[in-house]
Amino acid sequence: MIKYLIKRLMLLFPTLLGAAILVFFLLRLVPGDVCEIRLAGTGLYADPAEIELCRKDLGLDQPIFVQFFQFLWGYVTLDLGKSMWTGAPITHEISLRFHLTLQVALMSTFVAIIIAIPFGIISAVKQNTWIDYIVRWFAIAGIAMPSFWLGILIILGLLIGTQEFFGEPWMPPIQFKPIWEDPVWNISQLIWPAVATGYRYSAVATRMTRSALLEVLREDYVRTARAKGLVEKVIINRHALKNALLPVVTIISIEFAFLMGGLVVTEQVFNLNGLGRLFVESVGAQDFNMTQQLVMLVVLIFVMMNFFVDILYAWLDPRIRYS
Amino acid sequence: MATLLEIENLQTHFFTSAGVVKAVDGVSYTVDEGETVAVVGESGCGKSVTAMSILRLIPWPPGKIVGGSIKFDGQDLLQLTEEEMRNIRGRDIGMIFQEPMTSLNPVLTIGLQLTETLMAHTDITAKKANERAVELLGMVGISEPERRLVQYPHHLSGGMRQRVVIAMALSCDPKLIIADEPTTALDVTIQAQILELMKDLTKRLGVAMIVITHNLGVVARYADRVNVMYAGRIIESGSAQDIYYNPKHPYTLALLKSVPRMDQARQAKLDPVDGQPPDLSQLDAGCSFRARCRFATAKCAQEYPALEKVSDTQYAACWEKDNLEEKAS
Ligand SMILES: Nc1ncnc2c1ncn2[C@@H]1O[C@H](COP(=O)(O)OP(=O)(O)O)[C@@H](O)[C@H]1O
Ligand SMILES: [Mg+2]
Repeated sequence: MIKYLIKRLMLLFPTLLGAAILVFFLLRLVPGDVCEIRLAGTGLYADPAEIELCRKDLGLDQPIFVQFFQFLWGYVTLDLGKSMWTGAPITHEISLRFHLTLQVALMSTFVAIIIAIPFGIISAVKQNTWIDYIVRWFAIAGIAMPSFWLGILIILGLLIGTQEFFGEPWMPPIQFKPIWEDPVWNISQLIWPAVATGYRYSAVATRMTRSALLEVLREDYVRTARAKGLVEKVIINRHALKNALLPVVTIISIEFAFLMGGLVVTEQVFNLNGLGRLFVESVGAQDFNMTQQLVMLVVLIFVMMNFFVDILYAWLDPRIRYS
Repeated sequence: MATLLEIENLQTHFFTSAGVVKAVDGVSYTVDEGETVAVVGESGCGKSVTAMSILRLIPWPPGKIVGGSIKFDGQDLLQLTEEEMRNIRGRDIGMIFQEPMTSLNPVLTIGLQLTETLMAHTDITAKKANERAVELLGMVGISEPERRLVQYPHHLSGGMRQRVVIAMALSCDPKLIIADEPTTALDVTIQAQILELMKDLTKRLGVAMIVITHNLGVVARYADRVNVMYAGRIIESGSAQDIYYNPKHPYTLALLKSVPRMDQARQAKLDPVDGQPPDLSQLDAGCSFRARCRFATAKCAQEYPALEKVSDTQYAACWEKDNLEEKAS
C-alpha cells in the first residue's frame, strides 16, 4: 500500500514534465509576445528598438531551449519567476488569489455534496415516483443552466428580493476580505458563487449517486440484508451507500480539481479576483511565465486529487489493496 | 410434530411488459417443526420466488403475491404489516442464499454482518453480540473465530463464506431456515461438507429447513420430504423414499434418470429432461409438462391434473400416475 502510494507520487514528476513541455511550446506557437502587446497592443506604432529592448529585458531574445531550461530550472528550485506583465513575483500574484479560489472551490464542493448525496439517495429509493422526477428535473436543470447565468439570476434575485422585503436592496460585498479577517463579510460574499457553481456540479453527482445506488440496491447482499430483517434506513445507509459511493467520490474530486482552475466565468460574474481571472488575463497578455506556472499548478492539483481519491478508495472498499 | 409452515395455493406473479409471468401458480406444501423439506425442480420453475414469497421479499414492481396464504407459527404472513414481517425475517426465519461470493456485503466486516441481525432483533449489548458471533462462527466450523470478526468477506473462501451465511441465518435461533441452493455455487467436496453441516445443525438445534435445489441426488440423503416443482406448481410430493424409489410423475421420473452424481463437477450440469420448460407467461389450461411428456394423452391438453393422494405420504399431479409403470416398461 505505502509502496504503491509512493510509486503514485513518483509519477508526479513525469506528469509535470510533460505538462511543462506542452504548455511551454504551445504558448509560443501563438504569434506575438508580451512585449508587442504591451508596446503596440493599442494599435499605435511602437518603436522596434524598444520592443527589442523589452524582449532582452524579459529574456525572450534567448534561444527557445535556453528559455525552456530556465523555466524548468526555476520550477525545480521553486523560483517561479516574475510576471512578464506586471513584473511582480508570480508566487506573490498566485498566493494573493489562491486562497480565494480554494475557498470558493471548497464551498462549491460542499454545496454540491450536500445537494447531491441526499437528493441522489431519495431519488434512488423513491425511484419512478414524483420525488424522483422532481430531483431528476432539478439535476438536469443544473446541467443545462450555465453557472454564470445562474449567478446573474442569484444577484438579481438578491437585489429584488431584499428590495421587496426590507425596502432597500442588498448586494453581496464587492471587495474581497479573507475569512480570517472578516468571516461574515467573506462568507456573505462567497456563498453566492459557491451556490451557483455548487448547484451545477451537484447535478452530475446527484445523477451519479442515484444510478450507483440503484445498481447497488439490486445486489445480492442487499437482498441478504433485507432477509435479515433490517430496517430500510440501515439497509441504505450501512449496506448500500458505502458501496455506491466510489463513483460519486471520483466525480466530486475531479470536479473539485476543475474548480481550482476553471472558475473563469463565475469569477467574472461575481467580480472575484481569483485564479481563473488571473489565467484569462495572463493568456490575453501573453504573459508566458504566469500562464505556465498556473498550468503547472492546476496539473499539480489534479495529480494530488487523484492521489487523494486512491487513498479514499482503499478506505471505502477494503478489497482495494494497492500493490 | 406440529405444523410450522403451511403454504396454501400461493400465487406469485410478475407483471412484465411481455405479459404476466406466473412464476408461482398455486403452490401448497407444509413444513413440520424440525423437519427438512426439499423443493426440487429445474431452473426457472419458481423455487426461489416461492422462497422469497415466504419472506415477502418479492420486489414490486414487477412481482406480487396475488393469492393464497402462508401460515407460519399460527399467523398468516400475508396479513402482517411490513414491520411485523420485518421482525419475522432474520429472527424466526433465516435465509441462506445460493451465491456466497455475492450475498455478503464486501465492505462490511464479518463481525458487523453477524451481529447486526442480533442487534436488530434482540436487546443484546454489542459485547454480548460479539461473544455470540464468536460462538456462532465456532459452531459452523470456522477456525479462529475472534480473528474472523474483523475480517472482510474477501478474506474467506466460498465455502467459508457460506458457513458465515449459515451462522447468520442461525444467529437468532430461528424456527425455520430457507436455504436456496446453498451449495450450487461451491466445489463438489465443499458441497458435501456444507450439506452435512446444515443437516447436523438443524437436527441438533431442532430447526426446520426448506432446502431448495435442482439436484435430486443431493437432496435424497438430507430431506425428510421432497416437493417436486414444475412451472410454478408442485407436481409431486412425498417422502424421500417415495420420490426416489416410486416416483408417480413423469417429470420426477425423468429428473431421476439423470441425477448428477456427487463425484461430477458442477460444471457438468446435465439438462436433466429433454426439451425446454414452458414460458410461464403463456400457460394454458392443460398440464404444463405435456409437451415434454412421453405419457401424454388428449386429456392432458384440456385440464391440469390436481395433486392427488397416491399413498399416505405421497401425492402426484398426473392423469397417468397410475399407469406409469406399465407404460414405461
Ligand atoms: N423480477 C422478475 N421479473 C420477471 N420475472 C421474474 C422475476 N423474478 C423471477 N421471475 C420469473 O419467475 C420464474 C421463476 O424464477 P425462480 O423462482 O428464480 O426460478 P428457480 O426455480 O430457478 O429459483 C422465472 O421464469 C423467472 O423468469
Ligand atoms: Mg433460484
